[in-house]
Amino acid sequence: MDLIPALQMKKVSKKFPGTMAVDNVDFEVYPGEVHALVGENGAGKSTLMKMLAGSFNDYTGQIYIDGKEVKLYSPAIAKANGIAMIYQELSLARPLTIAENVLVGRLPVRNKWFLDKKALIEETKACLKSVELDYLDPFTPVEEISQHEAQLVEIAKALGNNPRILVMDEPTSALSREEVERLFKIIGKLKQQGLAIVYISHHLTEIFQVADRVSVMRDGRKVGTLNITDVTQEELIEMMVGRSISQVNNAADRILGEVVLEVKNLSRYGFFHHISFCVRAGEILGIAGLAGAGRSELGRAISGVDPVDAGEIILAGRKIKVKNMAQALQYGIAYLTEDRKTQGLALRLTVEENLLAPLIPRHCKGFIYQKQIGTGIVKKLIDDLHISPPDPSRIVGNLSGGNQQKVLLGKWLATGPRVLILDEPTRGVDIGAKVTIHTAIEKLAAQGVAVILISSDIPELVRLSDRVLIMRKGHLLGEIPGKACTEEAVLLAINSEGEIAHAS
Amino acid sequence: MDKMNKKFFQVINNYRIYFLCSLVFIAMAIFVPNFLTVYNLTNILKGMSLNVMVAIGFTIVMICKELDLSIGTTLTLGAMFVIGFQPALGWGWSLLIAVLAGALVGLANGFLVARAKIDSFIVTLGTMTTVQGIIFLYGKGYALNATDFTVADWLETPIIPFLPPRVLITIVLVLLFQVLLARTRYGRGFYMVGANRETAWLAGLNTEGYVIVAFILSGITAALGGALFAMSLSSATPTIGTSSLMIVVAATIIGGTSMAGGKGSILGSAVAVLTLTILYNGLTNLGAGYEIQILASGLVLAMVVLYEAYALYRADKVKGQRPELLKEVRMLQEGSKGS
Repeated sequence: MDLIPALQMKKVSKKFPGTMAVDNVDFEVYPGEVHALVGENGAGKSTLMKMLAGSFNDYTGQIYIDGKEVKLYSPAIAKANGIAMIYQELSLARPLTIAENVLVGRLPVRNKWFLDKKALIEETKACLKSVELDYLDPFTPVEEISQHEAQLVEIAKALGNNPRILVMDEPTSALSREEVERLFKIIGKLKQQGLAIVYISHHLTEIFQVADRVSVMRDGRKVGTLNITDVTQEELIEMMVGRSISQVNNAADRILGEVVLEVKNLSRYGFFHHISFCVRAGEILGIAGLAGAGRSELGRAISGVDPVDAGEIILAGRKIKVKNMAQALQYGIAYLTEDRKTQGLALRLTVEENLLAPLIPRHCKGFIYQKQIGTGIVKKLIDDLHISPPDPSRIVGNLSGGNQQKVLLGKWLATGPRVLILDEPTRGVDIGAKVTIHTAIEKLAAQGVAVILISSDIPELVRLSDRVLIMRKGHLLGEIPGKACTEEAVLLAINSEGEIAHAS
Repeated sequence: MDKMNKKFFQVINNYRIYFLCSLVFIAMAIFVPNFLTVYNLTNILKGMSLNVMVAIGFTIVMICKELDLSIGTTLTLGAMFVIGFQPALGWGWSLLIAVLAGALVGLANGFLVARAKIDSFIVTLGTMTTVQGIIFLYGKGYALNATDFTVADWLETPIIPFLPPRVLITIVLVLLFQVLLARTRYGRGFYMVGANRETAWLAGLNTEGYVIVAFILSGITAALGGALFAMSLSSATPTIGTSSLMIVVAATIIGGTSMAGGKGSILGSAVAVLTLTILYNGLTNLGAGYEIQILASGLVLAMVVLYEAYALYRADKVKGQRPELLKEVRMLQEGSKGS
């Protein structure tokens, strides 16, 4: 290609105290190209993109936009140079209206001072139209729309700036399959318009669908850039982790015990209705469904977080009523939340304090908390889960996403559960951490724990589960037994409109 | 039908302070003798002026998701300076000095919060005490008296029915800042900064600037309110602003400004101050003492906060509910009734 790259970064570096987060990286994107950027968490992708967004004023190296050197030392400069970002963590102001969020920093005014309400509505509608959200009222506060709508609003906001270069950091994490398809169509249109797009994602299948080229980062350095047609998924993973990873389903070797948990006609009105299933000791039961199918709500209801309106929960042959999570823990039911940052972990406390949090009542003599009882448990969990760095006094908020997730898992393992409900246990973690978490889950099952695995990561479900339950729009449609369980079958089942083939 | 209900509920919720104010006003008009007299109503408006003025700046700070605990002592500082400098410099210069002193306190607050990144609760607790110290150093703990009483008469005599100049100045400032915050690009920036500072910064807004300006405005309105109040009395005491902090904080929350930032309005806070003032006035006319007034405003605050918590709890409970599933439940229940 003898085109001028829309974006060219030459030998850029950014140092954080103690580490080189980005180390001498060359990176370029051409107009009309989707350039995927992959790597494990902590590989430096996000830092590289933050550099582009103008978050740092002390990076080294050169950045060229359309062949012209620029110094991106503030978000305003980056924006002026046509760079727009779509963040993984929604960066919308929730109490404010959609219009104000979409047009932030460039609200239309008349007479120099006063907001131009008419222009505000028109421009917002135009932006929303590009993501097919024009049915929304621009004056609805963002906190009142659903999460996937918010994700699309975020995209509309970035597009509204008429960017030359668009950076998408995990744009599909909150989207359903249809919405992902819609997003890819939008990306296709933007490509034709000559935008340069940087696409960051952990979903390698998506990358093969949408990208033209892919760059792999590891430990702050770029490992290589390849045409997407010249590489396989396995090769990419090898480049990311620096070793090869086997993908085998061990479900066949698993020995299943007695039924531990049975759920009969369980309903929470408006969320899920008439759910019945059972799970055996040593079994991993997958639950698949699109966003909003009621999977998380089901998990939350079984573990006492949300109320139940009708139906029964039977634990080891005894009918139980779970009023709250403390009671669930006494019964040996643990629930790992899908939102580790706000619901799962105390980010400002140490690894040790987080791991032992659910055990505080058990480790008390009278009113006094006996901290030393837990030391052995903490050490064992850190070793078992390869939490790195292996230091119990580290602040959890400073660990990488994958290690945070390991701490969250460890916290519930420490309680010695009989039934472990995992809600998205590997969302947003890198491949290395994912493998560790998968191994831990399999080990638990081998020890006779009944595991319920709720996940949007279909390869993960297929790989780990003995059976997969299919939920759609609050109903349980049926199950796919392990032998028939392939990615295609699960995908088809959760997306299709009619009944599923393997319904039992 | 459901949607209509929801919309109706939302409208009520958004304008709840105006309903609350009307309710309190009607109740007082019915139960309190001599409430609906020109004299009493003018008194209510005079009584609210100080706290309304202080609430303007405080609301802006709270919209930015910060707190300013120094407003009470800053208003006292304004009052002490305007009276203290009057004999030597005249009203014009002394008022300017008072307002500048307030702006300076605000600048110190804003700088420490925005640039030094210290929690605003701690910072303003510190400036609150420091300013208290300056007041005692300056006035030696005594009340100060003005030598010119003409301004007091002018400020407190209605020029149009019900409205003396001090009340008029307050109302004009409320309207000015209401329009500034609700209708201008610059004003909306305060909301963005309060709702999500990171987003605001990434959108190119000068977030530190916004926070500093919010605190300066808070210092200015507090000092100006205190100064005008002292001018209308022709004297100032070192404890003139003691009760204001609690009333203004309560009114701002009752008026719909969110502690979480990004939500609220100047007009809402002003009407909330008016509501509390009407409540105090009515209770006083009924012969209740200060202790009952404080108790009553505490109860109003508790009610509003409880209501807010309940609304949040309800919203959380139905979040993510599927309408078509609810329809199914309704059909089932009707079916079982029929059979």
